[in-house]
Amino acid sequence: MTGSTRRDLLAACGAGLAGLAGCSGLSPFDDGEERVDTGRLAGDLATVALPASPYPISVPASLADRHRERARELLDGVPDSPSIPNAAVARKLRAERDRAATSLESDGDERESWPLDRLDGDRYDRSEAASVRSAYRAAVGEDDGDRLREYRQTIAASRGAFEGDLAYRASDPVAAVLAHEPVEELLAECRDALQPTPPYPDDPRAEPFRAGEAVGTVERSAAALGDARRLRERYLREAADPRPQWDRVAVAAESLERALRFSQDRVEGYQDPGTDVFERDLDGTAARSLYFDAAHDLRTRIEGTKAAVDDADFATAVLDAGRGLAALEVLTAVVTGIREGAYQGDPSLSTVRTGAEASAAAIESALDTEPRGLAVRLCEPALFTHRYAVRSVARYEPDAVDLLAEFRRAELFASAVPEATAFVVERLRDGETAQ
Amino acid sequence: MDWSRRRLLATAATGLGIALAGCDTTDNPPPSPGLDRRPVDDYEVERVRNADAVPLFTRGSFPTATGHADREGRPAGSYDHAYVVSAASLDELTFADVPEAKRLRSFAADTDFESGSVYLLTTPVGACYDVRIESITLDPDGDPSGDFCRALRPADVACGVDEYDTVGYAIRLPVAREQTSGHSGGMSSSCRRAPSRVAFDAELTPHGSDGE
Repeated sequence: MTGSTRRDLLAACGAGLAGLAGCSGLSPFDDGEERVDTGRLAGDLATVALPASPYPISVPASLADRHRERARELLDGVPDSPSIPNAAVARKLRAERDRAATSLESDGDERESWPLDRLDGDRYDRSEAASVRSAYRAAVGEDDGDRLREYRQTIAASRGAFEGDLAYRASDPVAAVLAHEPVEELLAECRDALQPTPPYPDDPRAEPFRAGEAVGTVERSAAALGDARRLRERYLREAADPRPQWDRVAVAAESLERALRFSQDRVEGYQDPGTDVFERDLDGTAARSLYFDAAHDLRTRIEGTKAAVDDADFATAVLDAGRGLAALEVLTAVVTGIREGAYQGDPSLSTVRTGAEASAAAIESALDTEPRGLAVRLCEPALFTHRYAVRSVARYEPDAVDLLAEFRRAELFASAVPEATAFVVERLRDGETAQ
Repeated sequence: MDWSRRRLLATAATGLGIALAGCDTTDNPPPSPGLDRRPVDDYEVERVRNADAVPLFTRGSFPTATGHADREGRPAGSYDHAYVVSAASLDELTFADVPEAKRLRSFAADTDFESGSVYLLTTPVGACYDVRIESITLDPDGDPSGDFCRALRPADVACGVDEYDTVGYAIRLPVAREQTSGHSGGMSSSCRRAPSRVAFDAELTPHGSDGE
């Protein structure tokens, strides 16, 4: 097997590891260069176990149970052999019902995902079940359009009242961020899913699956709002002396957003990658991938932080900004390193293995940072990049250059997490002086 | 639910997340075909459906045995498209002796070729499906391309999954051509949801400009 053609292809595709999955079918591998057989690294790379969930309380099983029971009820409303004149519609309904049922009955691995992520999966299953159920109803001539409109209005009113009452109550501002960022995320999910696109059709029997999709989307909106409300209620019951932290979280978010924006000066000229900023050929090197992804990552996080502040999602903004600070450190280190000749050698199995070890060590160290929950949240991009990269080796044979770039990126990001965590904590605990 | 949607979103700004999104996030994206094509919106359409899966027109002669007398099994060799720019080029086509084919031919023949031309399509389609126009575009030379897609018919249309029909289109374009260097067509297995094409296009008339 040869490699540089594949590298060139990847470079043209602008993709990292997973880009291989989408682009590899085009690659002829015919230029004679030896390719590093990364498949031999399966089971031989340093791994990082999923740390305990950073969410400050346990997620009640009743939340997942509620979604699953609702999903089962919905699927039970779709007969095994729907009597529908259009046989292709009937066939698709059966297939979607079976798929939704299979997904509903497959449990997530508790060692591989956090409870809030599994709850997200349960909402998805409930939404899919609602889609199938409403598609069936549309196919047999039932029009849910009016009921859906009323349902959306009810959800919107409930969401507005709930959001207006969000005071970031917690025992301290760090806990407020950890407890309320998931709530903000759920409220955003509720808002986004409240307006199905495309909307419920005027003639649902003509487009039953579009009708189903619209109802399923709104079902997800309702499910997200329900989770947000129950998570907050549970948190307020379990938290010690929860007091409003709105002022501190809001001030810290705005302060961090400004700090991130103003700190960009050090990478001025490197945020919109061009091919010639380093005046050297980086094609086929980890440097190129590292640089482009680091620059993109920083831009994305700066924009995300700004958007979260503008939307008054202050807990989200705090985490976005903290990760943005780490991303800024990554880009700074990458630019400096490339200038000094780093990341440009041909990787071997040994260098990839060493890269994984360094990445794992940096992540483990970052995860030990106090306050641990905040550090884990800020370290998530590095943690999951590393874990995806390790898994990719067993799934296909990623290009060694891209694999090494992923581990370098994770290492650099994780290395920045302790200082970013401390900086964020300072802003949160001393919001007034941070202005 | 291992690598959940939520988790993918959380890491979407990292390298893997970028890669998962596809192959278009950094420099040197692969060239997008069709960027130099311009859409045609103001066309007129005649659409027909033949329940016997008869090919509606051809440049040569029709297959003698299509093997679909019972409407089962996909008819072979019956997908075709043509671009008619004159009465003479219309005469180069042979139309089937069925009402639907005659309607297409009549629609085409009624075209004023001094100001228009006609894109023709005939295609087999599952009896439970429809064929819709996704877009009609012109390349820089003015040659058309018809992009079509397949969509499920309404649930109350009685049909079997192994049955086939023919769908035909005659699309009159407001484009006159003396000759054509070629045309093209494509069929998607499902219809995209077209983004809103509502455009803001105010025409302002500044006050006080009279007499200037």
